[in-house]
Amino acid sequence: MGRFLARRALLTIPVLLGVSFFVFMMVHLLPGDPVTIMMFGASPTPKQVAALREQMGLNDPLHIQYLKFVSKAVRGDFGRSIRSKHLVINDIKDNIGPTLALTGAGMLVAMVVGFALGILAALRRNTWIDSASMTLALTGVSMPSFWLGILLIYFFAVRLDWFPLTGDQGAVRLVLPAIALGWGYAAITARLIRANLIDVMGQEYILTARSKGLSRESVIGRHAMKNALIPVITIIGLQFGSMLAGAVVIEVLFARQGIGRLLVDAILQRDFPLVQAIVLFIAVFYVISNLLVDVSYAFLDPRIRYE
Amino acid sequence: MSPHVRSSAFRLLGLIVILAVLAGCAQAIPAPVPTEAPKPTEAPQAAPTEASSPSEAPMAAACAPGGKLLYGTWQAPDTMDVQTTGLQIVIAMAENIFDPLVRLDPTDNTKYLPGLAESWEVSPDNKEFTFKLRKDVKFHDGTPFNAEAVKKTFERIMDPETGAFLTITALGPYESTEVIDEYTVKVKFSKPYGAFINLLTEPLLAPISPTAVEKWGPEYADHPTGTGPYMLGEYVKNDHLTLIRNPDYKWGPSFFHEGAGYLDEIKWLFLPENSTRVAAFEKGEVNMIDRVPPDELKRLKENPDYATVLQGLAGAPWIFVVNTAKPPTDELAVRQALAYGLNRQAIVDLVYSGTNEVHMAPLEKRTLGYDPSLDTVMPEDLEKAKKVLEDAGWKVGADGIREKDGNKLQLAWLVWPGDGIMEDGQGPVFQAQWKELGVDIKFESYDVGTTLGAWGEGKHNLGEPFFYWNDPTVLRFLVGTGSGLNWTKVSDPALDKILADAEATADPVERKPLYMEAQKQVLENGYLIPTFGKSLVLAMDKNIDGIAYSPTGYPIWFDTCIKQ
Repeated sequence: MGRFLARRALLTIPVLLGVSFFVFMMVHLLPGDPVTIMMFGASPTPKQVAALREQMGLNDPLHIQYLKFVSKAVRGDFGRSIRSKHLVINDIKDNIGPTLALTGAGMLVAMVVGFALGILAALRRNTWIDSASMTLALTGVSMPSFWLGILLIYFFAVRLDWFPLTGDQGAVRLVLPAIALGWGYAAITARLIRANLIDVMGQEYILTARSKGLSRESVIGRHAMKNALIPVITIIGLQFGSMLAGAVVIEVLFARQGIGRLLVDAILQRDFPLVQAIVLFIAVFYVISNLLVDVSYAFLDPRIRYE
Repeated sequence: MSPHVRSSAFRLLGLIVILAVLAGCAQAIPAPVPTEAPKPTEAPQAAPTEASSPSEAPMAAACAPGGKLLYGTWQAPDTMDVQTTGLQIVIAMAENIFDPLVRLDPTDNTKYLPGLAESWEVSPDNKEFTFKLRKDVKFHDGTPFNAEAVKKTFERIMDPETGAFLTITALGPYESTEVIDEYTVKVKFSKPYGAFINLLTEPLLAPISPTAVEKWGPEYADHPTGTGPYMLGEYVKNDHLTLIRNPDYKWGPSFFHEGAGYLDEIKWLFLPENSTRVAAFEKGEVNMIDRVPPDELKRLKENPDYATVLQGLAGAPWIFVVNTAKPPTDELAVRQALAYGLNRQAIVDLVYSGTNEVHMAPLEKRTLGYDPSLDTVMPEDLEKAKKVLEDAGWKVGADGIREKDGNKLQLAWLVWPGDGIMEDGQGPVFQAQWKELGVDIKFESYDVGTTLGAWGEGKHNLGEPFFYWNDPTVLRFLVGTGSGLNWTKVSDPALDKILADAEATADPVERKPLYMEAQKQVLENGYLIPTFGKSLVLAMDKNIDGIAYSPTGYPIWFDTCIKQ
């Protein structure tokens, strides 16, 4: 088990290095000169352009720039935002909280609703409950989160006035965005759980457990669910990473703070240090969540451990 | 029915019910308008406002102090430092936080009034400007306002460490500032730069507290400190900015009321998504919003509880820069025909539902130098356009596109995603209009960096930028020899001379006719083809009174109060 974990963790290092390389190259691979892009709108003098170049370290050879980038990144130094002059690491620190809250709440919605619908559908297979659950799931898969968000705003914030659109970004303001973000993933999770649970329930060892005299609840809880969950855990890990990206859209729609919003503004303002840092951050998050998924996978399924 | 068939039927029924409900909802909800990407520079253009007159009479004593203005805006600031920002929203905010040295008369844009400077003198060679400053002014942090503060303000802009952006362009050929005595300051330029006085009327060049700059260092970006009627209360990035009344304020301009502001608080809330912003307004969570989408504007206009305003902004309008160095736009006939062959109103009606205005001159209405006589220099006349091309040898080919000497009349219009041209829909309509003329427009859309680079290298026949700038020097940016923004690739020494003279003199009465002549030449030569004016599209509660607009066209809430 320990060896599995160690090997798995070690494998993330080349992945992270690769990611850091691509993030670094982003600035140089973009068409057009980065400094000209950043200064569009004013009529910059050659001296200004040269000064900004120097400030961004664009005059060093490429490999030196990369080494500087990585060595600074490891220490959490991503420089200053060109526009706000904030330390990039501070901007990220200030904004990661709301995004994690949103993504966490979204995951909560996805799992609670997804599990509920999925288990219900599986246990009451081929009844109207099954149909209703799966139709609800269909809406989740077919609706873009953006549109669902607008609908939620219209009905629950404007028409019914149950939720505010501005003001303190606490739990109350988190409800609608969490639903908008999580609903689609709830749908995917529901369908997956239903399919897996039905599949598992048809297995021979379930029949054995039942014939041994175990109660239905015990069979489902102890035997069926654990096995049905294995593919779902993998999906959840991937969902978390993809939800982080989806949070961008939801943050803009609901006017929430977060690194998604920060990223959008940074891109539009060509604030490269900020863009690089945030993209790197999201990528690292994704890699780590995948690592955690693999590890939990090993806990849940002994067959993997003993490979 | 077997269980299997029954559950399938239910599933189908359930799906139909849900779709029907959603379809019903879709009709009730206005279609979301895609968010436009912010322009790298926004140039507001000024046209006379609809709802409020350019001259705001000072509020009568009937205006009771108190109340909060909650302004839902689409763009969040990149920084609160006016000197380094690239976004117009920050300059708009600065209108209420800072005071300019010189004020523009709201009723007459050729007349200047005292601001923080009580009086000023311009040297005969237009290179030296001496200001006598008010003695009773303090910054928000208590620092006294004086000549030293003005000097430090300008020096900070010129300091490469600061990373000044639009402001450094405004200072032009700046050389130095000299403190003559505590309240007298002399600013020197290496070339005649009379335009300086006009540029001083906006907060781009407003004095900032040297103590604050010293104290905060790079964090000054979060702590703007000026002399204005409202000062920083709280700033939460990407959420809100709160300004509170400056109780010591008593140095407002003559056309506003005396004393401190009426409103207790001005709160800017950043709501980037159009539908969310409108929803927040209709819920009452904000009482004023900007950038109302065209389809929502109609609905809000019809509501008796709201007022809507189309406020013109200064600078250059949406304008075609026509590359005079690349065929076929190197031909005068082609350029002129493009201008004659347009029907701008059709696009305003079709695409902008009245939130834009047709505009026929290179400078916006609110900018010094614009004159209505310019509107008829290149009138819209499709038949004339066709004739001009015929006479120049461009005959209509079999496919409807004109040809000459084996070359097709094909133009490359370079755009970038998010500039609004394709998204709003104006691009394809222009293309269709010019097709009738026998001109074939090919769109090339690249990333903004590539497109700008291509414009710089002259790879385009057409581009369509717009600019926010409160001074007519923007015209020189667009057509002056050697300007980095001269995408027309024109080098016309006679035109350069007129523009240089117009920029040199400080007297607006002298500048205006020079700019009129320059604009006339630019139009007749087809270097630029103006299309639409840009406006702030605002909606507000009817009980908000006394909103004024800055020279560029941004709201100033000093005289504003909320009637009960």
